[in-house]
This record gives sequence, structure tokens and C-alpha cells, in this order.
Amino acid sequence: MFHIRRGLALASPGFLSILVLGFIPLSVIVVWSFWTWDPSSYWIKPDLSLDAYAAIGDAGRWKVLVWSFGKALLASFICLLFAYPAALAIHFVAGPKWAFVLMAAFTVPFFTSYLIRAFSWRLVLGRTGLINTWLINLGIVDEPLDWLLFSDFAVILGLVASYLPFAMFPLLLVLRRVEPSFLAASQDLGAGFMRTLFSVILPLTKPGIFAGFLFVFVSAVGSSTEVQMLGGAGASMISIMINDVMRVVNFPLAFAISSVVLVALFSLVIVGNAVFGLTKLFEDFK
Amino acid sequence: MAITIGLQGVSRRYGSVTALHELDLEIKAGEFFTLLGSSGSGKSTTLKIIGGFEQPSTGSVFFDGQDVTRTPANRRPCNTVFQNLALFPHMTVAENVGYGLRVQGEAKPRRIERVNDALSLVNLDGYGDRGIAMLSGGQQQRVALARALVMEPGILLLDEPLTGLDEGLRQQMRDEFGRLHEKTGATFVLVTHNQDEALTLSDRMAIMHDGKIEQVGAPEDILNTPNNEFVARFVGLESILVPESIKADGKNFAVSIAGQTYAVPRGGLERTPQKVAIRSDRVRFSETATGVSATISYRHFRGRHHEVGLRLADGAEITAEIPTESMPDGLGIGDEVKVDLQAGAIILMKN
Amino acid sequence: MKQKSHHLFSNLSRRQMLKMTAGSVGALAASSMLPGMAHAAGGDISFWGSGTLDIGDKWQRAADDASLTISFTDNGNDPGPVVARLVAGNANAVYDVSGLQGGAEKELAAQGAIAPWDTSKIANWDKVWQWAKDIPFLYHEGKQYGLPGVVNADSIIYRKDKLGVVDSYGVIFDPKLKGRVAMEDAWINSAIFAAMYLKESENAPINEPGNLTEDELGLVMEFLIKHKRDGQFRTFWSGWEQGVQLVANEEVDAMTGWEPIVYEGRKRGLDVEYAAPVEGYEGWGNNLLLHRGAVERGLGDAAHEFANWIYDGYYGAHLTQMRGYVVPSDNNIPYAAANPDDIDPAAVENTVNHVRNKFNGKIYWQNTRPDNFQLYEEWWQKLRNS
Repeated sequence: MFHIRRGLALASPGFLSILVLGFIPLSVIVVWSFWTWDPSSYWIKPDLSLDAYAAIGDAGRWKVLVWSFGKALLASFICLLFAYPAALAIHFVAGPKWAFVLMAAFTVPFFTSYLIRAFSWRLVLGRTGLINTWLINLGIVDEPLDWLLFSDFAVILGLVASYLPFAMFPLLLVLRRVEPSFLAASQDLGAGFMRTLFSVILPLTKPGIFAGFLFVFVSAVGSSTEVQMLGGAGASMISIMINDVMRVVNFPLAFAISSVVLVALFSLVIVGNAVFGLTKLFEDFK
Repeated sequence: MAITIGLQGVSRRYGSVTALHELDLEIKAGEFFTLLGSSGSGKSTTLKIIGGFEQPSTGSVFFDGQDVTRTPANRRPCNTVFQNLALFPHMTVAENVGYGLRVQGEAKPRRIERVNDALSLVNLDGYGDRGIAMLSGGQQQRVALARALVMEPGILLLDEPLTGLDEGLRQQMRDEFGRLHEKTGATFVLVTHNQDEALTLSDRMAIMHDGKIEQVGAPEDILNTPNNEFVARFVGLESILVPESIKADGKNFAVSIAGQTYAVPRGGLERTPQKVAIRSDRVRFSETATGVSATISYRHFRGRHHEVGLRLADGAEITAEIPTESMPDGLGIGDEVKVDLQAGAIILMKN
Repeated sequence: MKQKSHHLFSNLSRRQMLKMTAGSVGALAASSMLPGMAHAAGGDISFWGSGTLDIGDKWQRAADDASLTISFTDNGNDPGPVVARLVAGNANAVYDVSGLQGGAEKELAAQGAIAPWDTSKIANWDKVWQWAKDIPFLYHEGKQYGLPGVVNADSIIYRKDKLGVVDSYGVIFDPKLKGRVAMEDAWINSAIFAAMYLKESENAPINEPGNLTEDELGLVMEFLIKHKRDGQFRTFWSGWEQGVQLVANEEVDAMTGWEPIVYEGRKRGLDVEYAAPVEGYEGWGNNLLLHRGAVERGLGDAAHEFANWIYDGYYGAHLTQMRGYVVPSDNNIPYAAANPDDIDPAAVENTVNHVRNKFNGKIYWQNTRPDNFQLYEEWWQKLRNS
């Protein structure tokens, strides 16, 4: 009994900060999204209203939600596609020295500001950028390719480049579950590499795949810099839209959009955990 | 069904380190063969080369005379029980055991049948639906065996499978290996550092040291005629001494130790050996006044026997294992005694 | 605890507390650097303005000139949050004077967040350029709620080598330049540019481009949506670096934007010009607003002294030299001429006259708070999603 109490006491600052920093602000946002804008106080008043939610249907705002989720989804899949083989290589092939070098190669770009990173893509992908200069010098194209920059392509590239390590680290963590002897055992029982990948490695790393997906997805859904710097004319993202709305102090609409995103993300986490067993990430196998 | 294994000039280098020196070895079909050695002796590397998990730097591997050196592990007719078992944690017992069959494309009804047979072979009937983590160490061991044996391999490789088990389980599994070897008739290759396992299970064994084979033979041959001091020590012959003289005498050698001369059958030895080993279980206190004079240097009670250190008149140290019931009362350190070396106590070493 | 101990603090330190709670680290750093200077005649003015109004350590000079201790805090230059904090937040308790892009004065005055200025208390008021005094947003119900702090006029940055001389916003909507033009990612600027073009060159029924009615707004935004759908715009830009990069890396041949981008383009060796469009410039004023809280704290006179000091020459000359912006006062050039050690008189004169000349032509004033501002946002979403 004493131990339990002491454990609770030890954990309580953690729970408290989660409650104060996370749960309470989020609940407040959800509650406020049902209130009404009050021009006299320049704030909101507790008149229950669904107007803000109805407004999401206007002006194509729902499209921004859908496209933001879509872009984030695509970016997450591409991140996993790159990160998975890299994580496998670091885990199974590279010795400690090479593993360090590879991890560093993935991490070092993140020492610079995300603004600078996104901005530098403009210099790479632009009309007079590195890639177009090469393509023209090599005679592959006559005119610079316009779609490289200020396009969905550039946005996805920017998102992938920004959030790749977020996919990497959960995968490296979960790969500790896959002992090298599992691969030997699978091979011993007649399986080739692909068979081992699909029957042993992928199922065992499912929680890490989902965690990596979630990290990238959530970050990408919340991103604005990449879209704003690399997207085409007026390209939007949820946080850009919220910013637009806050600029005209339409608080209930901003809260309503945030609430929709919150609900979507929470559902994703709950469903994902049920399907992929996120908690297994923290289990140690012996 | 059982397969002959041949290694010819097989070596393995890791950078500048040589793990295996030009090894030649022939393992007969259906044999229970043990690679015995301490860690770093090259025994595991040898097993991995047979299994196809490592490529030899030089030399070739033959199964039934066919060169399989370049055949990958998943296409070799052998299966392995890994040291840490390597059971797939995300699969049930049945799924683990059935994994290889599924890979082979065995149809489901037949697969279930074979999995059940394999489980029953290792006395795990009805355990199919359990998760791996819910099994005891011994049960996991059996699942690993079943998973390999269900493939009906011509060769079963056992990579220190008993490490980590407690003594009782070890004995039990050891018997299990023997039983399964008889039942399946496959060639079994066991890697171990435990001499008891090697001596009790093997038809033949190889003692490895520093990437080389020191001696190959049946356990008895190795026990009776160890090639050298290293082998002798490895099979438990700790008391090694240089006799005052060894002379060829017809079918025997006349071995003089501390003033006593013993006639030891030559066996197949041509050359006169330099050293002998003394089997501690064949040393007894003399009931008469004859025998080798010795001083007791230590004594430890070991349950069914006493281990007694004896310093001989010529200064050599040997160990005696005296059955508890024949241990005289009142003997202490420093006491002078006479000891008999019984028939078979003196083991001649080739080199 | 904060409330309990209010009476324990002097006016200054109480406000520092509030600043701390407002989380304004910059203000904290600035105010902690200030020694307890003489605030007898003047006072301590906390100036909450657009970052471009900051002259850094040169604020010290106000202490010598007018016994004013100025602490500057960047307000982020986004009218929405600034207005919200002034009306409903703590900005009125923390800051005394705002510097904000014009347009929100009417609303702030109506909410009682700001107090009218008394120009008779501003000795330099007769030095202020008349047309700057005529900016319509400065007045509400006959009272002067805004003082013109900094002014400039914006139009089009363009590549003369590629387009020749450009004198109309029509270039932005010219199909021949499809994919080679850009506008700013803000309705505050882009809607007014399009409205000016439609009004002046296409005879569209638009009364005031800076304050569009619902119908006018629909017309203007449909026009922009059509061109966006046609792929007319390379992108919409936001922020100084992005604007410069678009021009410097030849992503666009013409775009609406700020004149300093032209100078950056020229530094990269490009033949870049700033257009003087027949439709006129988009004028903007960053206006000084007197907070109601300042008056309540008895800082009304000090605030007027501060405004007077802004027009006195030192601030204007330095701001022009530092950032190329112009305070609409006759004192800047004489100050620079009298203090060649402190400042480059020729450069200041050049810039001041250049900006003043732009206002000789037609001007439509940028309005950060048009009457239908919520509708502007809605239309901007439609544009984004078209």
C-alpha cells in the first residue's frame, strides 16, 4: 500500500502536467468551439451554437481539412518508405560506427531551423535552382520545370524532408524487438528475404511503423511552413486556415476547426493502438 | 533421409582474425556428432558454415557428396535449434512450428496434422494455441525442437541449446535429444562447451581449440587416448604428469610413477608418450602398505565422493575421487598415505 | 498574489510585472536594461509597434530630448490579434502607445480601447505633411484617433529587361505572363490591388478599393479566383525573405510588393524597377494610437510628448536610414543636414523625397479593417480552395 502511494506521489507531477498542459487546454478549445462571438466584449460568450461547425462547410474550408489530412498521409507513407529500409540497414547491417554516421546523417539537418530548411528547398527546386540548372546543363530539358517548386510535389518533398527522422526513431526503437536470430531462424526454415520481411520483420515492427506514421502524420497535419513556402498560389493547410481565421478574430471557427482535428487525431490514435498495438513499443522481449 | 556432411579445407577469417583454420571433417549420415570447445574455439562458426549462415573464406561444404558451399541457408536440407531458440514472439506455438511448412506451401490440413505430430513428438500435445511468452524455458526448448524437426531435416543443428536451462531440465532435454535422434534418424550436430553433454550424447565428437580440431573420435576413444594435454583436460582428465620413465614392453608400456611401475596396454600407440593423465576415479587409498606414497594437499566433500588432492613423492599433483563410503575416517591435510592406481587409471597421451 | 501586491509596486514595476505575465520577453529585456531614469518631466512610454518601427538602442535619445523612457515591444504586425488584445486582452494595461497599420482605428475607438489625440499638444504637428493628415482612417466621429507615424506607397516590382516599362497592374493579370507573376498571400494587400486595377482600368463599379462592399468584394475576388484557376500566379508570397527570393531567383517577372525588394534585386545584378502605375499606389500608414490605459495612468501628456518627439527629426532620419521608411514630417531632412556626423544627409533627403513624390499621384489607402473584414477572410478561403 505504502509503495503504491509513493508511486502515485512520484508520478503525480507527470500526470498533473499532462492534465494542465494537455488535457485542460484541449477541452477548453472544444467547449469554446460551441460558444458565440460577442462583439461587445471582443471575446466569446456561452451561447451554445453550432454556427462555427456549419461554417467549416463554407468557403471550401472542409477541403483544406481533407487535403491537409491527405498531404500528411502521403508524406507519412513516403517517410516510412524511406525510413524503413534505412532503419533496417542501421539496425542489421551497419556496425556501431556506421550506424552512428547514418543516424547523424539523418539528424544533422535538423540542427538548422525548419524555416531555413524549407526555404532552402526553394533554392534547390526553383527555376534557377540546382535541379533545373542540372537538367538544362545535361540537356534533359530546354526550359526549367515549373512544377518542381510551388506545387504539391514540392510540398510533399518538403514535408518528407522535414519529418523523416520522426519516422526513423520509432522504427529503430521497435527494431530492437527483431533479434538477428529471428532472421536466421526464418531463413533456416526456408524463407527468403521477402518472406522474412513480410512474415517476421513487418509484423514485429508494426507498433513502430504506426508510431512513426503517427509522428509524421501529426507533425505534417500541423505544419504550415512547408506549404506556405513551397506550395502554389494560396496553397493552404489547417494551421494556415486557422491563422487566417484568427486574423479576423473568428475564435469559435478557429476552435471548431481545431476540435475537428483533435477528434480526428484522437480517433486515429485509439484505432491505431487497437490495430497496431502501440503499447508493445515499450515492451521488452526476453 | 540422414545426410553425410563433409568439410574440406574450410576456413573462416574475419578481417585479420582467423576463426577457423583449414578444417577437414567428415560427419556420417545419422550420426550424433558433437563439436566440443570453449568459446572462441570455432565450433559455432563451423556450425554456421554447415547451416549456411556463414560463408567459408576457403574450402567447400558437401552434403551427401554434393557441394553446397554456395547454397543459401533457406535451401539447405538442414534445420537449426538456435542458442536463444529464436522463437517468433508474435506467433503461437502452432504458428511457430508450422512456419517452415507454410513457407514450403504445405496445404493447411496436412500442415496442421504435421504440426500436431511434431508437438506430440516433443510431448507438447495441446499447446498449439499458446503464446510463446506463456511457456516455460523447457517448453520453449521443445517448441524450438519441434519447429526444426517438423521439417524432417536430413541434418539437425543444435547450437548450444541447453545453455540457460537449470540442471534438471538439462538432463531431461539431453535424454530428449537422444530419444529424438533415435526416432528421426537424422544427422545431429551439436555444439556445446559442456563435456558431459558431449560424452553422453555423441556417437563421435570433435574437440576444437583456437579454430582447429584437436581430436575427432568416439567419446571412449578420446577418453582413453587423448591426443594431447589439452584434449585430456577438456574431457575432464585434470591430473597430468610426466612419469619417471615410460618404456615400451611388448604389448604394454611400463610406466614408472613415484617409484612404482605399472604395465599399461599400448592401445594403438606407436611412439612412446611423454606424459600421462591419471583418471581420478581410478585412484584409491591402498589397503596394504604398498602403492605410491603421497601427501594429502586438500580434500573436498562432493556428495557421493570426496575429491582429494595428492602430492606424490616426486612432487607431481594428482586428484583422486574417493567414493564417500570408502573414504577412511580421520584423514587430514598433510597426512601421508599410500595410493593404488587401479587398472585404467593411467591414460597414455599421443603427444 | 499578483492582485494582492499591486499596491506594493510602483507604477513602473507593476507594469513590468504585467509585461512578464504577458510573456513579452523582449519587453522585459528592454525594460530591465533601462535604468531608473528621470521620469519627472516626461515619463515612461511603453511603445507596442510593428517591428519595423524599432530603432533599437537609439530610443535612448528620447530621454535626452524629452525626458522620455521608451521601451519598445514588437506587436507582430497582425491587426487581428493586436486589436483583440487591445480590446479584450491586457495590452491596454501593459502598453501606452501602439504603432499599427491603418484601418483598425475606427473599431478600436468605438470599443473605447484608444483615446483621441489632442494635436494642439504636439508642437511639431504643423510640420506634418498635410496629405498624411488626410488619411481617412485617422478620424472617428470628428476626433483624431490616429497620428500618421510612418508612411509609404506600394506597387509592382518588375523586371524591366523582360517587360519594358510597366505602368499598370494589368501586368499582374496579363495572360502572356501566366505563371510568372505573384501577389502577396494576404487579402489586406492583394484585394485592394485587384480592386484598384478593376476600378481604374476596367471601369468596374467599385467605390473605395480599400473598403469593398459585399458586391464589390465578390467581383474582385471572382476576378482573382479566375486568374488563379488559370495558373496566372506562380505563388502567393509572404514575408520579406520569400519576397526577395522570388525576384532574386527569377521565379517571377512581376509581383505586387514592397519597394525595398527592388533594391535587393538590384544588388543581385537584376534589372528590377518599381512601377508607378496609372491606377495609383497602395498607400499605407503605420499610425500611432493612444491607449485608453495610458490616459488612465496619467501618461496622456507623456504620450503626446512621445508623438511630438517622433516628428522631431531624429527618429524619422534614423528610421529612414535604417529601414527606408519615412515619417511624414518636415523635420527629418533638416535634422540630417544639421547632423552629418550622425547620419548621411543626402541619403535621407533622397529617400524622403522619393517617398513623398509617390504621394503626388493617385493613392488608395491600405485598410487592415474594412467593414466586411470577416467576408474578406471567407473570400480569401474560397480563393485558396479554388
